[in-house]
Amino acid sequence: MARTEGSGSMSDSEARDVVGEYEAGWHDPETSTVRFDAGLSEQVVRDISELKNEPEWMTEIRVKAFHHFMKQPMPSWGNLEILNNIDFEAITYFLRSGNKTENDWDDVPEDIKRTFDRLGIPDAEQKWLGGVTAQYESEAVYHSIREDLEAQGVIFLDMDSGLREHEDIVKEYFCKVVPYQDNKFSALNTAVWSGGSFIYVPKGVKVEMPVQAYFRINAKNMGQFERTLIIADEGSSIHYVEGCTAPTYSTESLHSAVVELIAHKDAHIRYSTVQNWSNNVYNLVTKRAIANKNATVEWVDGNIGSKLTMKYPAVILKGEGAHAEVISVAYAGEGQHQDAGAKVHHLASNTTSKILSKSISKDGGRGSYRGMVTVAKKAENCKVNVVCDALILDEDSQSDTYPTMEISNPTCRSEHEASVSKVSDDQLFYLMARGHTEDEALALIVNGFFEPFTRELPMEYAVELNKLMALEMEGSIG
Amino acid sequence: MSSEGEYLAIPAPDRAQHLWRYTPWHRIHPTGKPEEIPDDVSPALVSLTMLDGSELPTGVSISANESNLSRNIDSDVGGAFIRALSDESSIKITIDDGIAIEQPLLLTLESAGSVSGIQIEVAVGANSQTELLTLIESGADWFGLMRCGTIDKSAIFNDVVVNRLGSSKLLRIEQFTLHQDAQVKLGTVGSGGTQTKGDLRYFLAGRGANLQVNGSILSAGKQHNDHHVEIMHEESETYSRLNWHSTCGGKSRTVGTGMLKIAKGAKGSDAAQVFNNLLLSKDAEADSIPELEVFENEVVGCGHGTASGPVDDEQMFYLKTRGFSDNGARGLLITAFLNSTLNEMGSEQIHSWLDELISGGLSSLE
Repeated sequence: MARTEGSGSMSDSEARDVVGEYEAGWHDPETSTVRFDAGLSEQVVRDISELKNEPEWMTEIRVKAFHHFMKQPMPSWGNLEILNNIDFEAITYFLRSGNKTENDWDDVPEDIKRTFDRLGIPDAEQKWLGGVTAQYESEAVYHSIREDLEAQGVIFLDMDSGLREHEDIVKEYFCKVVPYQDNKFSALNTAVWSGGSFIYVPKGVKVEMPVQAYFRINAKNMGQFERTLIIADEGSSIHYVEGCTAPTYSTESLHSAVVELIAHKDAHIRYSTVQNWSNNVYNLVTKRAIANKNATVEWVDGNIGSKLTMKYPAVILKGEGAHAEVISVAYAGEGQHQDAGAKVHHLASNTTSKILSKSISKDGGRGSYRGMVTVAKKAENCKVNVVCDALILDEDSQSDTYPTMEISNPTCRSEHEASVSKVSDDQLFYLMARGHTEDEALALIVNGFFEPFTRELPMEYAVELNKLMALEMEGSIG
Repeated sequence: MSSEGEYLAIPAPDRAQHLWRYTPWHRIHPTGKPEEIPDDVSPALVSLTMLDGSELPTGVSISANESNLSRNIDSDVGGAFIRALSDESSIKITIDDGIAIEQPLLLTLESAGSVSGIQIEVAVGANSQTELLTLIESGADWFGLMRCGTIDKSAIFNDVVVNRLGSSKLLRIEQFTLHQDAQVKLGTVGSGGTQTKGDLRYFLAGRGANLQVNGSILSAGKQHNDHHVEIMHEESETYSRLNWHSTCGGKSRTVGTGMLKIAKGAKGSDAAQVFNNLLLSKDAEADSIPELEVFENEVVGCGHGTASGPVDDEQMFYLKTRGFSDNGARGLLITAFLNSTLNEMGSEQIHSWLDELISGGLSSLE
C-alpha cells in the first residue's frame, strides 16, 4: 500500500511568509495518521476503498471511474493555460488527520480544533446551526446534529458514515445525478472521493435552521475530493451551507468535489456556498440537482478565492412545476480566474428558472459567466430568466460571458441579459460628497452590487462576506 | 501552397467552438465529406446595376478575377474551402473616395449546376456614401459566398444581403474592417435555402467607427439557419449594435451565436447585441449564444441579451378585438417583429423593396 503514517510537518513561520493578506491562509503543522504517497493509480483507489472498509459495489464504481478518468482527455474549453498545469501525479489523494469522526469538539485533536476555532466554527454551531460537519483534508473530524432534528428522522452524517450506516439509501442515489462518466473531474472524484456530507430529510420535515459543512485543506499539494449527497423527501425542506478555506502555499492543491441533490415532490433544498480557497487551489466542482414535481432547488454560490474555479451548479427540472434558482457571485483578483455559471434543463412543463450572476474583476483577475439553459420539446409554458452583471475595476482585468440558450418549445418565454461596466463615477462622487473615503465608497458600492447574493445567506455569512469584500477592495482606487 | 492544399491542411473544426457547435463542418460541406473538394464547380453569374436597372454611375467600378482577394480573411476552414472552390471566380467592387450615390446598387448573384462559389472584395472609399443590396438567387445545390470589405475613413455604407436561394445550402463567410469615423449598417435577410451557415466578422479598427448589424431571418419548413456574428472593438470610442430577429416556424432550427469583444485600449466603447426569436410552431427550435469578452474597463457600456417566446397573447387579443382574424393578427405581429430590424436596414427605398420580399414568405411559417 502506497502510504506512510504520521509523516509531514511544516513550520508556522514559513507559512506566514507566504500567507499574505488572505485571512485564512495560515496553516497548522501537518500531523497525519495516514498519508498516501503522491500520485494516482488503481491501487491507490482500491487502497482508499479498503481503508474505509467499503462494500464491494462502491469499490467497483471507484475502479471504473478511475479508468474512465485516465481515458478521458482534459476539457478542450475554459482556461486551458491554467487547467493544463495541473500535475495529477504531484497530488496526495488521501490524508487522514484524525482517527475517527468525533461528535464533541473536546475530543477533536487539539491542533485541528485550533484550526476550526480560528475559523469560528464551534461558536457558529452553538449560535445558529442545526448541525455541523467539519472536514479536515480527506475526512470529517467532527460531526454533530441537533437532537430534535435527529428525533424527526433527519440523517446528517459525513459521507463515509452515511455509506456505512445507510448503505441502501446511498446505493440508490449515488452517481445517479452526476454519473462518473459526466466529465473528467466527476470521474476523478468518484474514484477517490472521501468525506463530504450525507443528508436525508424525511417526508414533511422542515429543517428550520441551516446545517453546515466546513472544508479545510491544510497540507501542501493536497487533493480534497468530498462527495455530498442530499435527499429531501416529499414536502421537506433543508438549507445546507458550506464554507471552504486552505492555506497559501507556493504549490497547488486540487479541490474537486461532486454534489448531488435530489428534491422529491414539493421539497425545497437551498445549498449555499462561500468558497474562500487560497489562490493556490484549483477548484473544479460538479454540482447538480434533480427537482421533481413542484420542488424547488436553489444554489446560492459565492466564489471569492482559488486560482481557477470552474463551477456551474446545475438543476434538472424533471417534474412539472419545479423551480430552480441560481444566485452566484464571483470575485476575481490577481492571478485568479473565476469561471462560474449555472445550468438549468427544463424537462417538464410549467417549470421556471432564474439565474442571477454577478462578478467583479480586479488586479488582473478574470471573471467569466458560462451558462446553459435548455428547454425540452415537451416542456410547455416554461419561464427562464438569466441576468449577468459584471464590474471591471481596473484596466488589467477581464470579464467574459458565455451563455447558451437552447429553446425547443414555442410556448417558452426566455430572457437573458448581461452587462459589463465599471464602477460609476457618479456613484463614487455621491458617496464621497457624503463624507466617505474613496475606498469606503467603493466597498459600499461593491457590497451593494453583491446584495442580491448576501441577502440570501444566513446573516453571519453575509456579514463575513461583506468583511471579506471590504478587505479585498482596500487600496483599489488611486 | 495551392488553395486546395491550404484547405486540406486545415483539421476539421472542434465542435467545442461555438462557431461549429450547431452546424458541424461536414453538415454544410457540399458532399458531406470534408476531405473532398468538388471539381464540377460552376462560376457565379454576376450583375451589378442600380436598383432601378440603370447603368453604374461614375466612381463605381467592378472588376473580375483580382488576385489574392480575401486572402486576409480570418475564417479557418470555411474561408479556405470557398477559396479552394472559387480561385477563378472573384470580383472587386470599388467605390471611389468622396462620391455620394443616391440610388442603391443591386448586385445579383446567380448560378446553375451543383456547386458554385464566389469571392467578393468591397472597397469603400473615404467620405463616400453608398448603399449596396446583394441578392443571392443561385439555383445551385450549394453556394459559397465570401466577402471581404474595407470601409475607409468617414464613409457611410449601407449593405444588405438577401438570401433567396431555393433548395440550396449557403456558406457565407464575411469580414469587414471599419476605419476612423466610418458609419456602417449591415443587414441580413434570410428567407431561402435549406441550410445556411454564416460566419460574419466585423472589426472596428478606427477611432469613432460606428456599426449596426441587423438580421431578419425567416425560418420555415426544415430550414437550418445558423449565423455567427463577431464584432471586435479594437479602437477607442467605437460603437456597435447587433439586433438579430428570427421567426422560427415549421420544423426549422435557428441559431444565433455572437461574440462581442472589447480589446484592451478600446476606451469609451459602447456595444450591445440582442438576439430575439419568435417561436411559431411546436417543432421549431431556437438556440442563442451571445458571448462577451471585455478586456477594457473604461467602457460606456457593453451588454447582450436574448429573448425567445411565442406570439404574445395580449397583442393577439388586442388586434382581434379590432376585427382581425386569427391568421391576420398573427401575420401582422410576425411582420412587425421582422420589420423592427428590417426598418433599420438602409434607406426607405431598400426597406420598401425588402418589405415586399418578406411579406411573400410569411405563409410558409406555420
